[in-house]
Amino acid sequence: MKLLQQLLIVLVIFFIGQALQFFTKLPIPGSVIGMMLLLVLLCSNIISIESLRELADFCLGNLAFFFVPVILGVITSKDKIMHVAPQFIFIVVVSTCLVMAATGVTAQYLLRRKERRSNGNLS
Amino acid sequence: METFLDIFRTPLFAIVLTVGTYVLGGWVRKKTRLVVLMPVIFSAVTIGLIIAMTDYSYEDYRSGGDVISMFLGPVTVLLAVPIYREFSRLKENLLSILISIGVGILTAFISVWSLCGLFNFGEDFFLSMVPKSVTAPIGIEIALIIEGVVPITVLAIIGAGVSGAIIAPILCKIACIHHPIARGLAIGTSSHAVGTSRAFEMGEIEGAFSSLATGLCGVLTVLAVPLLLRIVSFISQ
Repeated sequence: MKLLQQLLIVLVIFFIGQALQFFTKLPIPGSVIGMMLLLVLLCSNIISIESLRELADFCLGNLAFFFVPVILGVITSKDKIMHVAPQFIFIVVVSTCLVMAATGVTAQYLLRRKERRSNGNLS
Repeated sequence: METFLDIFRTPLFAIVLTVGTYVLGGWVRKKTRLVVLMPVIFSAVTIGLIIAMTDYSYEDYRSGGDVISMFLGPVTVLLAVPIYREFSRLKENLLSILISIGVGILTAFISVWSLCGLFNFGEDFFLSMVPKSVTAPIGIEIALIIEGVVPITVLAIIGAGVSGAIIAPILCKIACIHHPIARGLAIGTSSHAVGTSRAFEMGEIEGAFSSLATGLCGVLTVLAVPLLLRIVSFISQ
């Protein structure tokens, strides 16, 4: 019963998100609207984290499982991807490195600046 | 004509196959201790081989596969949970975190755009690769909205996750990223949940901020991509 209750909460929020997307025609997926809605509900203590714990741990801990069928969809466009595979991998790897470096360097600069400032205030 | 073999063409068998190969993949990874050999890859490759080598067709598999895909929506909703768990840490450094993730999203977009241009990749490839650093359930939704090819998006997302998870410790050293919060944000923004599991191995703070960045990067990318695409189409006119 516990898991079903948790599932119900998530499904209802997802449904509301889909409905909002349907009526507003926003270019934001209904699931993401649902996610923001859940965040608001959690932050305003309307829903407690305890009432979702087991389901959240299960789904987030096995996140990758839910992608298996989507990956197999590649079969339908395999000719398209096969002859550009090396370039494809190159772009993905290089871009990932650039994003990691850019985010990390920016974050470190901003965080250290802030820490230096607050240390300066103390002395 | 009904034959005995038709039992293998049911949605039930596709689900048994998916769960079975996934669990087997987890077991194989534990035995071989190969971090790179993720159950999701093991499962997809095994099923792919079965489809390629036997009479079992992709359409047969899809009947059950669609049932599993249906749960991607609710799973996305639950991504609010890790953001909420780290909410107090988010508030402390809100501006720094948002700016860094914003820089990451911009870097992702520009690098994919320019590299796709470099290799003369068509519009469809470019649009499919735009959401590559986002966690898969959100990335798939973005691909659907901007009309990319979903399977290509998923491949790019997995590529970003796996390569990021492997490269992270070395890259942090080369780029002199020592601050644990900065490391976490960098990994989560570039390689989502797959990178996050590596970030947790580097440290608890790294993991927490990586999982925070994974969710935030997803939401912010959803909001940023339509705008960025408009700018690109404006420039290329």
